[in-house]
Amino acid sequence: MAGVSGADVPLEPRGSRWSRLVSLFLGHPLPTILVAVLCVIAATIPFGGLARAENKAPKLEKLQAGVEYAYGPLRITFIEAAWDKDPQDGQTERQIYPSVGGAYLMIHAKIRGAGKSDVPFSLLDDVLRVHDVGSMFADTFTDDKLNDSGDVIPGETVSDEDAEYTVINIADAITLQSIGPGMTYDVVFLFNHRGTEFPDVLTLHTYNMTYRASSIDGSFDWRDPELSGQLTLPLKPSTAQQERLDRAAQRAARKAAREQRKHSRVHG
Amino acid sequence: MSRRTRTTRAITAVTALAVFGLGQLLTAHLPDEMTSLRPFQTKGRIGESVDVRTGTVRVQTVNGGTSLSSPIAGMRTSHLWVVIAYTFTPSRATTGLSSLEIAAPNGMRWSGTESRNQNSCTTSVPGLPIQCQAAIEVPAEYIVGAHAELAPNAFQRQYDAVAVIDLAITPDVVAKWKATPEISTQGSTLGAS
Amino acid sequence: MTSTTQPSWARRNKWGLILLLPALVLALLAASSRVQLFWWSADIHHPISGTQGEPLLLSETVQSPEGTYKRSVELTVQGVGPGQAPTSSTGQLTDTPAGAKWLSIALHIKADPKAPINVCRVALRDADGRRTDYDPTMLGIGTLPVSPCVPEDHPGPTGISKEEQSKAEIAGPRPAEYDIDVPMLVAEDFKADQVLFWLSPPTYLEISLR
Repeated sequence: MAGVSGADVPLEPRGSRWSRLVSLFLGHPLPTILVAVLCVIAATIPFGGLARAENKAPKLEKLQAGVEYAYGPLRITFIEAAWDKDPQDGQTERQIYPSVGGAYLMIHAKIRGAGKSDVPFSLLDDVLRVHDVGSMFADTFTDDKLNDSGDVIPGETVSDEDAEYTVINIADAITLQSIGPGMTYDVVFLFNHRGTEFPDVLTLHTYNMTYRASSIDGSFDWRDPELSGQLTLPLKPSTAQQERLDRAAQRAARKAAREQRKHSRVHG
Repeated sequence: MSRRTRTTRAITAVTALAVFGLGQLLTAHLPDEMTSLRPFQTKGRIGESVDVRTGTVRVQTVNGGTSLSSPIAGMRTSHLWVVIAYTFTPSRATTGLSSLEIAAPNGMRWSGTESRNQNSCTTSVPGLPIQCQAAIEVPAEYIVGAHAELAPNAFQRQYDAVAVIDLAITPDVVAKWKATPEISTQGSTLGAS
Repeated sequence: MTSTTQPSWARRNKWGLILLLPALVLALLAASSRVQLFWWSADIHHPISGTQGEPLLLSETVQSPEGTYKRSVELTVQGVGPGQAPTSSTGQLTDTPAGAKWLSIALHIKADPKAPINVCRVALRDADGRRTDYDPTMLGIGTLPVSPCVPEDHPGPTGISKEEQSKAEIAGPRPAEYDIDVPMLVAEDFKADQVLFWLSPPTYLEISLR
């Protein structure tokens, strides 16, 4: 033991290395924590350190018609695609009126609500978009109109990637904004298209969404659509539309034949 | 530093950790926010008057069918439409009742304000009943044993009163509804029936 | 061993102990400020009392996009008696629901013709505290006048902006003093005890019937 002087303060005995380390930490907490943090950061160097994390573009899953896919509690089975100027032609109680600016693009699908509560509008409305159609669509909320002289007064127009759809229940043509749990519907995703020039193949993009809280008010909803799948479907006029086109073609052919006969009689 | 100071500081650290641990334990075992905000539920049967804070509610009839004819539109379903007729009598203020949900035993819920469902129970004055109707589309395979929940406000049920009414749906009732082609609904009507 | 020259714990923490009670009171007040902010001013909680036959003044300052202005209404409740089903704007007699009856409140109103008072609300309260409000749409749109306290043909301005004031001038100004009968749909067993009148909560006129 070191010599005891006449002073009051007892000399601190030299303890083990461990107790000295503890004393050092308790005596200088701030620098010790700083050193610990720097050690942790240094340990990340072999794993990339402070390099920027790359946002990799997601792989597009190739989807097939007739297979059920999941988007949160929503299940969709795509069936086929068609277009029609007047999908409810011949029906007495109309919910969908003939398109005056072009034609309706219709994607027939079966949808189902899995889960315990509703599939909300925020999910049902953003799960699908058309891709690379090359022409314009009408905005869902403004319609094309016909004025008295028969001219088309267009509503607002958006590009194909931005075109939104309405979900129509095929059995009664009622619009579905959300669907209950356990419910199944045979539906059409209905787009309002400008003009009647359509490609032979339709490409659809599907989006996965995240159920998270809003950063503004904390409310939970489906947000952040992220491109996840691609589906190609053959696109042709619907049966009714094809019949109308055929009849129009026959009328035109008969008219041309009559003109030809008249011409040959006059000049023959 | 002195031995006493080191001991004091060590005891402080251990106590602080112990308090954190106790806090974690309490947070894990005390009721969470959703439980403490839960509504006050009162059970009832069809035909029975139940108090729901702003008045009393009584479910009168429950019917079902495979298509609904309403003042707005005719709607077909591959499942079932359930129409619940009920009366609401305000007790102290001029108000209506806006929340009706059907809940299945497996936890699925269908609301009178979601999808293409309808629920009409507009304003009435204290002491004057209003005849209300709700039409809700449900899948037939899940609703045996379901009950209806009626509450004053569709958006805020915390701490509020909820009437839980057993709808007496048996497999026979579901079969009968599946064989009914059309069922009709109308809006709400002021006055005793 | 503690030094004997150190003062007691209570002495050392004197100020903390003294301020503990005021701090607690302040904390409780701050926490309950929401009651005042969100609840109390949202409905009628501050009565100005009067009796039937005596004029009572309701005066308030209103914030509007065009500026702050004062408006006041002097109201005299002449009486509440049995009423009749009113005729709607289309000329049809309104149906009276089963279990209900009509009462009629006779009011005498004095207000500046330029003041917008069509937003007024009228209600009846019975001895049990049940409150029946005037609701123009309860029996359907168009069955009852939209505002219970302004004449239907000359309702006066809806705001203090130039357009709203001139619209009222063109339609014909509201009289400075007039009588008006308010039709109230109440339950059959409702007996009116007080007439309530307000422009914006929480202040309201509470007039007891004789």
